[in-house]
Amino acid sequence: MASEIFNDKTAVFRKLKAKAENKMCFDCNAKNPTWASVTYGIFLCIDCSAVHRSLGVHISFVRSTNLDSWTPEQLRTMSFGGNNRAQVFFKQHGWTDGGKIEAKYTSRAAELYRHILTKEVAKSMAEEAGLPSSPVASQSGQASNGLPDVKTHEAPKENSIARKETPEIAASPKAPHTYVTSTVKKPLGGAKKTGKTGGLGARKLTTKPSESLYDQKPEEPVAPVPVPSSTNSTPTAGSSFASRFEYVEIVQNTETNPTGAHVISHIAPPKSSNFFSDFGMDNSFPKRTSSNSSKVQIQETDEARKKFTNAKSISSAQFFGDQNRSADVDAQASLQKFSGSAAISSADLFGDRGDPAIDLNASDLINRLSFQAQQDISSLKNIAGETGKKLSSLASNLMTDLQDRIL
Amino acid sequence: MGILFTKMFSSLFGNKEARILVLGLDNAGKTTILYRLQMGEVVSTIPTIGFNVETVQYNNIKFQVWDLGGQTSIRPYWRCYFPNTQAIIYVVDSSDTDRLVIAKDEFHAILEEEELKGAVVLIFANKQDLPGALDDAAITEALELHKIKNRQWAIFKTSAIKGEGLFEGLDWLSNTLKSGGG
Repeated sequence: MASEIFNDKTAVFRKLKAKAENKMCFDCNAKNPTWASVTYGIFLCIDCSAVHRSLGVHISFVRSTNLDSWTPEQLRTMSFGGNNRAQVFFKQHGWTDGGKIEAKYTSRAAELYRHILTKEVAKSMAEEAGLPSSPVASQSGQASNGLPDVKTHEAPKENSIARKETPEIAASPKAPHTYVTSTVKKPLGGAKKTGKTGGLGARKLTTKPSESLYDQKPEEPVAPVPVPSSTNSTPTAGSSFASRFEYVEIVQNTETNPTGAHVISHIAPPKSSNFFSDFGMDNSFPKRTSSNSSKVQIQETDEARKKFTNAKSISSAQFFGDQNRSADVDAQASLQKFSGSAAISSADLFGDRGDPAIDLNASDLINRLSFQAQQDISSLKNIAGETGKKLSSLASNLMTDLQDRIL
Repeated sequence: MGILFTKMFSSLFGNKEARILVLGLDNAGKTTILYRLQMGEVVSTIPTIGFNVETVQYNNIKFQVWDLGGQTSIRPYWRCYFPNTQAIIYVVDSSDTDRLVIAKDEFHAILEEEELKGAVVLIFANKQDLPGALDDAAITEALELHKIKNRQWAIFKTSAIKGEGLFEGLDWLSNTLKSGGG
């Protein structure tokens, strides 16, 4: 039903931009903003969008309302958000309009707001989609015994896109109550929130220690980021589905951490090992990683990772090896050479394309070949000479024999 | 500075020129890379609507570097710049893992272009300074570089902000172009 509405970018923006609140840049009040931070559902001018872009997509994901394509989920976020709501929220958490952009959006308040929006959108999308996610949802929900609220939310997230920032991970389950109260008090999205939302809120609390809510100091902007994929040992995607659920459950049970659920919510088939490693290292960003890696997965998967872990660059030659030889051995050897070096190029690896190392090899080879050839030729000559002698002696023998007999 | 001048002088003779396109999704860091290469500084950029073009002198090669805007609806205009291009620098935001699939699709669409058949490809796995950035091996997989045949490519980990990896990439590019790869 409503989903159709969110498929039409122009319609959504026409509606949203008709609101007075969205007619000014959220950060600088410039008129008629045509850019937006999807992360916060706010409209920005191009100059402020530039600042947001420089923060990285884990802090703020910027799109042009005119020049970019938008997914229904992103459009939904914009309509759930809006400049006004964000402003109220930030104000409640001590951020006034004039604040420095970077500090403002790396603050706890910003992180919190990201979560709220993300969850609302995920939930509404799940509600609309209804069922398909249900199996996953139910599984994950049951798995996480400790947090019923979480379950409800998680489930919806699953089917919904779940392309969100993952800030949740960073926040560990601390004082659930705080958040709930805060939601109640605050007119964040009061109208939008339903009973379920409360659950969301509860979960959020989890994420936020109460103090941080009000202190508002930008702490650890880092939190939402994914673990670098290198950590994962990327099993292939095939088995991922079954395994992923299992993993999730385990995680949730043991850690009673929303993170696990969150991870699940990512669409992509995670590599099973990732989960463990993610959690093992207290990185705060497991969720994203898993999503990445899964997306990343290809048939050849780990090959590159294994080969090039230490290399600063990888080139076609390195990757594929020389076409003429059985490349593997060579490639691996050359890779080892380059591990730790800043760059790897195809030439380095395989020595084709006139690489000096290869040239050496080639000249070596040629030398050997020519030497061999010379030897062969001389021996051939010898043989020929000998056979010639033999033949001539044979012939002369024959002749003398004949002559003898004739005579 | 002196080195710069000698470079410029030597490049006056036996100069080689190359036309380079810098492509990639929006907010990958294309413009920042362009100006980091050209001026050696980090400039604050706004989204590129249209293009920036600068000349970068390096390794006796005069690179004419075109930085094209990456927003969704202006990507189709990239093709207007394809003719006579010796090399592509494809920039990926290594921390934007959600959009790696899109980055891959755009990348392979570019490789399909007839006009770019002879172009060598340099990939910058950019934004390595950001937490959670994937390394070059992961980006290699994400972009499915193993599917590239008949073309020379290399991928470098870069941070345009810190200035890391960019000139290493340019080294590879100039060597490849000099050896006739382009």
